[in-house]
Amino acid sequence: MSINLRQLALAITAVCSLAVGPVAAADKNIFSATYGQGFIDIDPSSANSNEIALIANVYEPLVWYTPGEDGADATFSPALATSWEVSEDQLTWTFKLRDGVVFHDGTAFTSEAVKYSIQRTQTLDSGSAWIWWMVTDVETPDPLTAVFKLSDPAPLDLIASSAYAAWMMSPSIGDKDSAWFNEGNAIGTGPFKLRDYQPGVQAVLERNPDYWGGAPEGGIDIAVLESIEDSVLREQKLLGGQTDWAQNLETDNLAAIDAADGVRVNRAAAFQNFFGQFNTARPPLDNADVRRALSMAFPYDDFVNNIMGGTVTQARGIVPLGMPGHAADAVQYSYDTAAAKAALDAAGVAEGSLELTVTYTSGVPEAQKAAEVYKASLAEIGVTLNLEPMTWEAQWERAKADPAAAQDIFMMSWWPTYVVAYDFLSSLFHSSDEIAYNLAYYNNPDFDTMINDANGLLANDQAAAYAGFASAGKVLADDAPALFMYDTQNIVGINDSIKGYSFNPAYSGVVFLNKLSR
Amino acid sequence: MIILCTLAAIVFAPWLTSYAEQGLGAPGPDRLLAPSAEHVMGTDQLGRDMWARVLFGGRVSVSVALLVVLLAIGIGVPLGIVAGYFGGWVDQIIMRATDVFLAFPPLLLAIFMAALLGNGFGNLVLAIGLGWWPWYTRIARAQVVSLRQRPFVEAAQFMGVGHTRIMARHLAPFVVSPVMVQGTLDLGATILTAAALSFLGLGLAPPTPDWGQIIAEGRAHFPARWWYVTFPGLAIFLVALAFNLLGDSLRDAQKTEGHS
Repeated sequence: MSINLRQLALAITAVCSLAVGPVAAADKNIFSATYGQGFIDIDPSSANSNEIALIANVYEPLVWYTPGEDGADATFSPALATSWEVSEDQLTWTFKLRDGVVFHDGTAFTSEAVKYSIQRTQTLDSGSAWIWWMVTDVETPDPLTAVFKLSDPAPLDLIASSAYAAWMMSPSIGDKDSAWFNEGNAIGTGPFKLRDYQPGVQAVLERNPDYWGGAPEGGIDIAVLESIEDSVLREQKLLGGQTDWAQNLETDNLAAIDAADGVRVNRAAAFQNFFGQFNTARPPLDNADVRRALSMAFPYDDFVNNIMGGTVTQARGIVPLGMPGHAADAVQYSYDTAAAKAALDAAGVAEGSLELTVTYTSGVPEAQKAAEVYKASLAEIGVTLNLEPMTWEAQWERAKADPAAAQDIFMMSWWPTYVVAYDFLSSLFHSSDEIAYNLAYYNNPDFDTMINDANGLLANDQAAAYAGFASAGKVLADDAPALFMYDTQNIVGINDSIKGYSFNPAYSGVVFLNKLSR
Repeated sequence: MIILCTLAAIVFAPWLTSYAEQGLGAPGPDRLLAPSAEHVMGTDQLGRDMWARVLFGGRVSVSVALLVVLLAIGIGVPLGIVAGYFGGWVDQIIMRATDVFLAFPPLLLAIFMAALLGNGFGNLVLAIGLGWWPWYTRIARAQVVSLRQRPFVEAAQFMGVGHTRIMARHLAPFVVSPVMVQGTLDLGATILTAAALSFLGLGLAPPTPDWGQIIAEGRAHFPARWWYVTFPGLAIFLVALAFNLLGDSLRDAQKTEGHS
């Protein structure tokens, strides 16, 4: 049956031909970036994943978040708001807006646009719309003043700098739904306009000549943001000069990429980590002693330094190092199979009796390596681990359906909606009736109270709030509802001809196109 | 000869390497080493000895191939004998069903099935085997149709022997030889199909050693770490070639014997 051979050959040829796609990066003013995952939803109200790579160049928020250098506090820099102040009672925030800004369709940017954008996002109530839960009304006393009325005190400058659900869009969009955006429509104020959009494949942006902020010398005129799931093809395009920027490259090849002519590797601290949530709803994982034992059975040092080549660091709790609210004194488990085995015995788990299932997204090399390594080290303490790689959708649907029938360990990566420890603590571990990302099914009322109290302090007393997050993080690490594996860096490959690239950890995956030049 | 060596290597795999545990998935200390006296085929991204991975991968590949072919024969041959023996509408229904299956490219059908069933050894066998049986139905039917009118069949019918018994005792033996030839030739093809599915991530769950999957991992390391894809690739090539050669020689032997 030679037809099989032929078809295999055809499939391989088809895959290879993708590598030589028609992107003309050689032209001076065209920039091309290659992502590992496609854009699905580009509605700025509901988008909740890596679509911000596109959105953050087409739309603007009121405020940008700028991380502090070398441990300094973060600052907020003006975007569409030029200044802002909060009332004595913390319940009224007044934003003064930038004058003379127009949307891509010529509509003027005014306080009506702010009101429209916030209310559209709240009405749609999808994705990260929850960030505005305390906003009861947006008043528009004059075209360049927007007044936010709150039900509870909240750090609205921080919230307005969110990577999700805080983008300003034109009131001329009216009552159009997400489908309209996903047909390739976008009306923002940003330095780039959306020219062509193919969901999951690529987006082409072109410079907005009327942008209020102007353009740098030698700036980019056209940007192609494409997605290629295969890390080998991304690497080949980068090395071949067919793309200027590529993310999620194979760890073992970073040194070779850095050494190659015309290409460099850029590493930057990120607010992102990788962990495996334990199913705390099912015995024996409902016993914290068992979870602690399992937390001592991952070879952290070997994985971080050897297998990941030092590109990541062992996590300490769920809030990544460098983020305000990180628990610096939380317990950090170390690899000790003897202690793990003793702890399992003490918890009444007989050797050889425990069989666990881990799910992870197939095609994520780090996840597979982590799962394989964990399987081997668990085998040493008499625990069997079954690996089930699947698509993210399948993995998530199964986990949300029924905790009793779900996986035992759910591996995933997390980065914040806006830069607040509460997002990690609450999204991933706050008890809830409807499961979204608390895939540990963790239910600890004391912990819920601690993080909610700390979050309530954020508007008035940031130091106290961060201390509260840190002590909640400490409780969480001690209770081990997840295997806290590692905090990641943002690592991308970039063409040497590109200047001005920098990574902002608040906006994961975004290349700020208007800062680039060639 | 190659077949014998392969089968021996597979059966005695644990005694042919001092890294049997790594062959089954345990990480080793030294990652991505080039081939040396200690690791004749180098090591992989988790430091596992590639020779051990390839050896144990052979166990998986060959047993998948054998089971797929047995499954296909088990479904296909009885259907073919029934179709050929009864003829008429029974024949029509069975043969149109095989036509439907044959209308799909086999790899595509296997990909559909594997995606539906999920990862795992049994699922991989099912995914490939459920698309493979129509070939055997055709072979068995063709053989039975040519025998159906022979005196010994009619004689048996006159003597009141049951249909089932006639098919099992009088017709089935004639089908064995061509099915054997086809089955041997198909072993090579199923190994390739299984490797293709694993390469696409639709095969066995890691860390089970699996040639297609090792090659998929190794792509990221090619050409700098050439051994990662080369040795499992060679293994697939050699074993598929060996089964094809064996099938060819069986066919030649059958031809010289002639049909009885």
